[in-house]
Amino acid sequence: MKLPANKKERAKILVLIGMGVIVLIIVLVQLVAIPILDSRRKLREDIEEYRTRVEKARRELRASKQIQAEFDAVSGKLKAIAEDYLLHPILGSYLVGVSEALDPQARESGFTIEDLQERGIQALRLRAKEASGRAYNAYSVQIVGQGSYDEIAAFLKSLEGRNPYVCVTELKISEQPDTPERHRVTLRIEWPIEAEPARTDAAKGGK
Amino acid sequence: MHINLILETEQRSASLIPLQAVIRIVLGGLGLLIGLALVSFYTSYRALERDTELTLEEWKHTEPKYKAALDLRTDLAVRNDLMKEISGWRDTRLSWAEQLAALRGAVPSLIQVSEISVSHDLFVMSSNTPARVYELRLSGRVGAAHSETSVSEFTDALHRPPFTVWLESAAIPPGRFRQDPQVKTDRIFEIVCKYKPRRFE
Repeated sequence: MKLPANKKERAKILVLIGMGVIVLIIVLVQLVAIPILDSRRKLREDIEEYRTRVEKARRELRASKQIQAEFDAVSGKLKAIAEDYLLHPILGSYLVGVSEALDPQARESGFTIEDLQERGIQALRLRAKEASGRAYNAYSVQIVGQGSYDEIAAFLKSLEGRNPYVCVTELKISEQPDTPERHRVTLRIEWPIEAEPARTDAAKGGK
Repeated sequence: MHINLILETEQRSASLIPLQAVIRIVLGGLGLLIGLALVSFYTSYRALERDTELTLEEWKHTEPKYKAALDLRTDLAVRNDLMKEISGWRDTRLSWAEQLAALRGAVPSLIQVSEISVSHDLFVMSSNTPARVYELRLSGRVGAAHSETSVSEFTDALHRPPFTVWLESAAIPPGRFRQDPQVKTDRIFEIVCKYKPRRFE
């Protein structure tokens, strides 16, 4: 196609061609270039995100051997504590277990237990925010008995020595005018017990 | 008078490289460059797509192990909390066998202790840390002669080791050192010992 010889006509046609080219370029940019560039940016973001995730996962996996070792160690300790020191119900009663634990110790030390009564289960008042996730409760009993100062001390030593988690929270030693060598004793003792079955299983170390 | 015998279309440039040839070369070069850029862009785009697929595949392969590792970390945190809780319980305990043994050595020979009473409370300290606090009340009697010296000696003993490790204060409350209402020649007294808070930490 030949351009007209007339300068004005030729200029008009060139302007029209220029406008057409500009419109074509705008359409191409809008419909082709921008979506392709967006798609490439998205791909780059995706690849960056997945690489970050993979790197994070690799770091976690490298550390998991150590975590597994710590987990096994803590689980083992918790299991041992649960088995050796926490109070477990016997036929639904904690008091039977307490009695079985205390009677031989009282006999060995010469302390006389006259009365043993359950005082109930209380929540351990730990941090308020952690209260809902509490794993242990305190089971308390009251003991009334008699013994000399030495016998009382020996009984407490035996009690506290055999179980580092048993806690004497109240103690009253009073003189008895009729038998000055033997004193009247009232004791309140607390044992930790497992509170929630779900976390109890964890305490036993099973996973 | 000037007569132009050549039409405009018949005019030729005297230049060595005609303008039209320059324009054609520039346009051709530009087209070639655009073509090369498009090919390069397409190639890099495809490479990027492949890399994304490979990374995604790697992530899909790693993700289950990663989740298991995270679960393990959470389980460890739960167990550490349990351990902290039960250890806190143990560490706040006060050995009363040890206290009784220490008291035996601290009581002066002229004093007769008639009652030992221990009470206990739990409260949250300002740092939001729960703590056990024990209070020990020692009641006794002593002959009127040298009574002040003996009781003072007893109180002083409670301000020396090993009691300083446990006790925050040991004092006779006002009016608690007085004449025994039953045996007028004796004095009775009461010493209140407050133990340092034992925090669940």
